[in-house]
Amino acid sequence: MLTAIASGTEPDVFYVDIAYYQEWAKSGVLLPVDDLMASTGTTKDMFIPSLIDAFSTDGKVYGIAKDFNTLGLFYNKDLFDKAGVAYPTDSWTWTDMQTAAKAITDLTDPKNPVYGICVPPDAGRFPVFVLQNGGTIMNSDFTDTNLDAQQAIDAATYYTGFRADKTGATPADLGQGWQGTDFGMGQCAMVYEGGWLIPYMTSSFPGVKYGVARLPAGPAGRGNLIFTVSWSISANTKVPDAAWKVVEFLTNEASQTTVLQSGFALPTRQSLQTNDYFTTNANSAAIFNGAFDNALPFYFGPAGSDVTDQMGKALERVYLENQAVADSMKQAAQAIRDAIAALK
Amino acid sequence: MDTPKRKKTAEALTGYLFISPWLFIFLTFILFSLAYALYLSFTRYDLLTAAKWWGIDGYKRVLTDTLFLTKALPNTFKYVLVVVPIQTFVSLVLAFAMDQKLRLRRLFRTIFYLPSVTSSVVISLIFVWLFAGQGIFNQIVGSNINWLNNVTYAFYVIMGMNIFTTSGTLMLIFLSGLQDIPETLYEAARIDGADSLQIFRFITIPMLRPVIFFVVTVGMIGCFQVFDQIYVMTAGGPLDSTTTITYLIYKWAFRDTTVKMGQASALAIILTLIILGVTLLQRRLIEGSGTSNQ
Repeated sequence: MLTAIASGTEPDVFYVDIAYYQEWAKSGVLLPVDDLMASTGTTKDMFIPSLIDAFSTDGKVYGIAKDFNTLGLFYNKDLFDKAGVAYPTDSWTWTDMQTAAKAITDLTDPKNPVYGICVPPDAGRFPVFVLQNGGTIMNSDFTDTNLDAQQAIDAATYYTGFRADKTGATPADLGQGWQGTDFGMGQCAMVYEGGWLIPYMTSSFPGVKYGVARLPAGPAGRGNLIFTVSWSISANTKVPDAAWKVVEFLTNEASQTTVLQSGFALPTRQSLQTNDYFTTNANSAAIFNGAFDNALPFYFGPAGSDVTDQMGKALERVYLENQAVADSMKQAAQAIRDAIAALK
Repeated sequence: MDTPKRKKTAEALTGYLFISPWLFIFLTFILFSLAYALYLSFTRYDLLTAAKWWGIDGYKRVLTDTLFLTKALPNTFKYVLVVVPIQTFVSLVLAFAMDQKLRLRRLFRTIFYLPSVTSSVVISLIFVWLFAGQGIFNQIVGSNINWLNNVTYAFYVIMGMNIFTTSGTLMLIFLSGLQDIPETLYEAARIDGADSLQIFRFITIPMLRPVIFFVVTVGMIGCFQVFDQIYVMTAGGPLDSTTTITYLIYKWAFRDTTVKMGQASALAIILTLIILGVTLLQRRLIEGSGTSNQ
């Protein structure tokens, strides 16, 4: 996509990942769609406000979020039943999760270990713990990181603690590429994942009984991440009206209902928030409601890939090299500051 | 009526016509790309906005970059220093074995050559499975190591795989070199009472010298450019333990949220210079050794 933009051969309409949106909008790659929205009577308040904001810069809208996802606590009902542990509830806290992970972990058969929770060194999961501990990953204008603040260090201590006391493991420990497979195979009783795990479970592990609960609250309360992609229009398009019609169609109620019913992702239209699907599908509802739990867009500034890399590495150093958590987080923060400085 | 001069021009024209497909590809996809990369290496370019000239700042950034200095550069040299000698030795031994009058040697030659004609991505995936936590390798050896997620071992697994895949091609080159050695030399040695180890040491190896140098040079260039296996197997991890120069180029040029195309091009030029330097050194060694075919 980047090379297409660089050579001026990008399509009229394309996806923009939230992780890249700001840079693209500021570089003039995207067309503001406010006027086009007005031309068809589409208004901002038809969509979830935080998702309109996510794709707005300087008061202009540069894309319509096609759908979104947050994280939910997926739990394997059979493993909970086997260990005699009650299923997670909306009022669960970090401590409840620790207790449950300890009770469920069963390492008696070294060939088929069962861990309470999967704790991958993954920047798409770990930040929610920082938020739930009252911290942030970056400052508000993304010019500095707060990963070496005490809230983030304590969150990392909690997160890596599962593996340290052998009630949690990483997908790599268990020989898998991602924790969805561990969850499906019953190697991990709990995983933090998004709605995309639902169709995967249906197709690859149809026999596994599982539920999705709200993410447990941390010492400072709630926190979640929003993953989303917009449909945006190229600033170079020769047919803005036709392009808008495509965007409008792709984000209309009928299109979004199709996505919703697959379980894969959630609709951004306000009118679908009360869709019957949610009353009959508690799992999707749990992930949908995550958007209202102090959820931040998955965007960490112009050095975003370095921020996510360094978060992963901070956890990996603790896992693989037994580095002290605080040192590792400080090292990551320094690397991020260097990366930000290199942008100037 | 054709004058000699006109005839010569016509001949040259025909010549160019014959090489034109290659010339076209060379000019557009190699020479132009090279020149453009050279230009980009002196600019700051994020792909979204126009490239800005910033002289040698990109080179300065590369040469002071921590990831380059502490991981990519040493890793690349480590890779070359481990893989090149071993793959040269292994392929030489294989070629020597395949040159004997063994039963089924054609079958063995094909088997040893197979990894070289298989896609590197496919081989990489096979090795990912072989060396997974519950992979076949662990089950055979009885170990419980997560090879590719281990800071110490991951790089050696990739090295081992590269030796496995390239040895076949190099074996073929050695084989043709071995068959070029006149039978009379062996015969004379045998008459003088040399055993097979002595023949190998004092006849085969010296006669193969130009071929050995060729294999080492080609192998070295290949190792400096290792990328796809690392991209597929470890993506430079864990903890940058398998990050090489080419992987760092890829990271800067395509993976970073803010693309650093200029800096990536500068590193690509630096890598070219490193390879050029090493190759020139090799060339001097070949000519200096006095066994060159030239």
